[in-house]
Amino acid sequence: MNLNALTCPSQQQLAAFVAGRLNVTNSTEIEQHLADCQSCCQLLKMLPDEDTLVSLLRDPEVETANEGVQRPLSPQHAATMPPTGEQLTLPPSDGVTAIADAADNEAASSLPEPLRDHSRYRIMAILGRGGMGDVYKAHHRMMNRPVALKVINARLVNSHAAVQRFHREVQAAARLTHPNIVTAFDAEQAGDTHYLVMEFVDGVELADVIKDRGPLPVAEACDYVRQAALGLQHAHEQGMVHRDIKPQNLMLTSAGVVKILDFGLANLAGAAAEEGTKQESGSPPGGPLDGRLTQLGSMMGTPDYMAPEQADDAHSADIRADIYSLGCTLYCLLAGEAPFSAGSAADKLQAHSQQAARPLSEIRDDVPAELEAVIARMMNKSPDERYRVPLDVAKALEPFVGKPAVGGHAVSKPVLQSHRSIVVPLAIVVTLLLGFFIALTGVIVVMTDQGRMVIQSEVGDVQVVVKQNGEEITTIDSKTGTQVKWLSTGKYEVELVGDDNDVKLDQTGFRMTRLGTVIVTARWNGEGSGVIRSFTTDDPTISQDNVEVADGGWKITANGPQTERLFEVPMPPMNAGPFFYRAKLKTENVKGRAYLEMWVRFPGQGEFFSKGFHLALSGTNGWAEYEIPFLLEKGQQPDLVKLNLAIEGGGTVWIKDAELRGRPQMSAAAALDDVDEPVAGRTDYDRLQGAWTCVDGVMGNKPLTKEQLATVSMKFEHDQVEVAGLGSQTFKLSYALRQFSEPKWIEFINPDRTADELSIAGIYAFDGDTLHIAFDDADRPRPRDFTPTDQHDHFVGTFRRATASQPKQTPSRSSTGILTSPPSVPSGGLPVGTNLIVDPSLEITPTGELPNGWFAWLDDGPDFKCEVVEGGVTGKHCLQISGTGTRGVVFATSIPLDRTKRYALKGRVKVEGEAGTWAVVKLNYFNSSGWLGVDDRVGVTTSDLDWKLFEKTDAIDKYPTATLIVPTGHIEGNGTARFDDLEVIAYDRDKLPANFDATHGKNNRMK
Amino acid sequence: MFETSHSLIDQLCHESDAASWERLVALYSPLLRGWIDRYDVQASDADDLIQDVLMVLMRELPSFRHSQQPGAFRSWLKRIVINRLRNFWRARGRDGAAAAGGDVMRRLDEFEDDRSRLSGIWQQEHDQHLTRRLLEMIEPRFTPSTRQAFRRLVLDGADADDVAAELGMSLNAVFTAKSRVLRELRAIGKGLLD
Repeated sequence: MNLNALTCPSQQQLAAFVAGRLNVTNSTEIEQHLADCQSCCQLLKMLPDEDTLVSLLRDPEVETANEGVQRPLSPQHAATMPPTGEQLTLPPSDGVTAIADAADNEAASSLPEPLRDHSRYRIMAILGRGGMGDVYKAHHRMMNRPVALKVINARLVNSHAAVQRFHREVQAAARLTHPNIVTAFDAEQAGDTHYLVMEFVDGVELADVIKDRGPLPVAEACDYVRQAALGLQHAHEQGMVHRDIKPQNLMLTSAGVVKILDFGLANLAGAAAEEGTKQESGSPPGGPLDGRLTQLGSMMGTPDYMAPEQADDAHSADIRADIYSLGCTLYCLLAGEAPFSAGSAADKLQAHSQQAARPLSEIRDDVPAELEAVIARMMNKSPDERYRVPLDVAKALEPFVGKPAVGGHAVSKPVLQSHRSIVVPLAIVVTLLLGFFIALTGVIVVMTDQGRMVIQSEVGDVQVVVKQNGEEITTIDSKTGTQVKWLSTGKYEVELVGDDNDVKLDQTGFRMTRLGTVIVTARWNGEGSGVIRSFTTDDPTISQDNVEVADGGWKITANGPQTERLFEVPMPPMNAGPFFYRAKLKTENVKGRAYLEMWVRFPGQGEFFSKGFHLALSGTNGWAEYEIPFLLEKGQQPDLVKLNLAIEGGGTVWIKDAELRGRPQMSAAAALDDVDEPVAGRTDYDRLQGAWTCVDGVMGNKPLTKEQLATVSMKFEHDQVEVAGLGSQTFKLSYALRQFSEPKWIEFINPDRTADELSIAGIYAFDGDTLHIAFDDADRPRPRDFTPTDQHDHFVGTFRRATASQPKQTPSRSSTGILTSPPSVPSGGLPVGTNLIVDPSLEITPTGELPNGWFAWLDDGPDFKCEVVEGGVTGKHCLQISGTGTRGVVFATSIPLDRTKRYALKGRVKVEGEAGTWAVVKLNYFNSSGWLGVDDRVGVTTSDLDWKLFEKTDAIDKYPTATLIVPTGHIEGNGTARFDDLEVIAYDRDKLPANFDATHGKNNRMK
Repeated sequence: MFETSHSLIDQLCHESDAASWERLVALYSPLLRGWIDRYDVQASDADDLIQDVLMVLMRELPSFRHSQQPGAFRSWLKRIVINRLRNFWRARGRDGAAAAGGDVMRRLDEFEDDRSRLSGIWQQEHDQHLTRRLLEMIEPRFTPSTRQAFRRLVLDGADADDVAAELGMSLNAVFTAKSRVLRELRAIGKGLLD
């Protein structure tokens, strides 16, 4: 850090110091600095005492007594602070809670007035303070989701030109859509305050990671930097340069993903610094270096990572300057400090342009010479000697990451390019490589706007090179892992790697032969991407005010800033890759801009904003085509999409032909036509059904013998599993899955908890028809992978389906699964027509548990809430719906009908609220043609004070063609209904008593 | 060039069984006793249960892998305590549990639920107990004035200027004391408190 009295540590460093978060070296420097610097001591007094350890240690009475005298950090204080360094950062996630707690007083006190009571955002907490501005965690009121707001330092937007620049920079940054870049949503203004709205990332800066942990292992550091390089490559392809790459601007999420922060802001700071210098000294840009640096330094911190050419003339710096900074960053991750961290800012700049960094081999002995060479090339003083593009850096780092990831360039044997290449006219090309396909054969899928091109290799190993104008853009190797990559609009050549291949191209695709044998076939596949949902004027919009049907679409008239909620639709299971929303938009007399925005919800992960605004319309231009892609990463499974129309300043907007496009895993029609399959999409619950025998197993590092293997088996039947373990013990357990975690989780639960075995936390994975399971002793945490350990009860096993045929699934109690894209529901048919996804992964979400096998669509609205709460019959979880008016929910499961049975819906319900509030349950009937009807309803009102048992029998005989029943529930009136012990019981028809309907509740049967 | 912090977890894993056993007993038994008492266990049985829990802790600590979720250790310890208590009451059968107030299993279920009020109390008590014990453990490593400054500033919440005046120290020395003690506390509590 190398501080002296003239360069004060940043406020963030001081805060970290006094909380004991710095390492000894850095702490010692600050200790020495404090001895000479009264102003830093004064600043320390003003810093809020929000450390968790402090609050744990402090006498609770003192804590309460002090609350009134919290010393707020007001903007006035901020103005007198010493020059601040890189504070524009999000603190580690554990810090967020602590700060959030203090938000009411501390964050609020320095919050710009216009944001205090903002109509769109509620400020939750301050995440960081810095030269460029303060960052707040905010809650988007309507969307009920967190975002981060960066309030831009007034110095950066102090003129009309600067404001324009801010908007330009943010709009450019917002065009970046990449997993390794923190998404900027929009630039907004409230009063005089300008702020940037961006994706809220729950993570920690790499700078803090090394502060906490010291230098990182080689593979880890290379992985992080490689990810950042991939993000930079994307930006580069969009013509953007970051100019301030450093560990403070790289966020690491808990999933190990690195995301680049603050695209565009360095340019803003640079320009503001120049203007400031111009105004103060009258010297031209690039003039007295020190003056500009002081300005710049106060906003951007010390030039620890700045490329030499960037210091000379920031404007000339191109992507290679970022590569230099990234090299310094990698150096820092490996060394624990930046390459030239000694001296003043001017010293550092001189060192960057003239000195060689201390060799890493002097600092640690595990950095391979090849890696040092890579870093040296990244950090070469001359831009021409560096890697040309970030992708080259990513590839160069790949061998050190430990797992291959980018292309096939780590292949040691020389491969020659094919003599032929195929020119593919692509409007938008997305190449994706889906790991689970690759497991079967070499398959590469190229997404184009004409559909997917599927390249399937008969020999397993294929490499495809995508080129543009002869320059290689990317290489996809079917043997290596997943890569999702966006390419911009243009023509690309697709080449297959190999020297003795013969390629034939025709209209349907191409074939590639080697010595007469077909090794690759490729075909255009237009089916992959299709319309998931299109909206017609028959679809009622959610928000009806100011919306009228006109011109084959909708006309929305707004008097002022307004966001109209148009549609919310459930999503069927989707394949990874892009999906789009499209519409035609027209505006008239719109002040400001108008755009269509899409929100995508991932169960348990919150909502993510897809950026509609950079294609915002303004003025009157006739119908404009609107298409926004949203990238689904592998394993991401959205369950709900919302479309809203945002009008920033009033006016009239027309919208028509709105639709969602993408690649559903299984078309709804196919699912419904196939009566033998459960109507629900095939989920892991379905895949698990039946008997499994153990073919391979390791218990505490000891492989099981053949004799032992023979005794181990599992039999899944609905929500129960019978596990036969070693020593002829058999357990009857229930189980729960979390299908979308990585790895997937399975929980074995002993329902009566009478046996010694308690619930066991395990993981599972399917590999074709093979099932892998690993779990540990109940006392120990869930295993992370399928590697055996020497722990006594640690089990890793491989199971195959028992050869005996899988028992035919007859729904006896309840069946589970994802009910995909319901057939269109006539208005008035179901209480809430759109809420028809039943998602098993919700069962074990943190919101609680539903009865086994029952899943609810949890919907929230301004006047309606459906949630899992405590307070069921036994005090444990139950399903609660509450609100005003008639609102409801599909709270149940889908039951494929067996005509040899009769069914009854049974459960308990308790209603509270205004007199005359009813809780109502119904059974709905469907077949592949759609919704057929709903039978008599059964209700319970508030006059019934306690839990009431209800049971109602089906009316399937009235619907002879129905193949599926869906139970629903809703409330009428103003109040709350709690449901518990829900089940659908199947009765054998031939054993039914004559008075079945009477005794089992043709309508109500109360107890 | 970089200090290696020795967290308590590391130390426990590397020192002799006898030494780590004593440390675990000193560190955790008051906390565990308080919680086991809540579930109607007699004092003599409580001793056995505490011992059981600590045995599991000692046996499994070397293989405990922090999940990176905040509070992973705390949750793990809670799970062990609950499992032991369940086994204990189960072994006594229905009558035993009924004699002890009947709803002990239900209360254990509540405790197990991470969102219950009890879990919140556990989280607070565990962290508070551990932090204070760890502070006691590391205090001897500091000079008396550092200790005093830290206690006044952090525990009593006194004003930094006042502390400096009281103890005849400079302001920067007061903050340095706070920084050093907290740093040590973080280092020793790594894995247990995060």
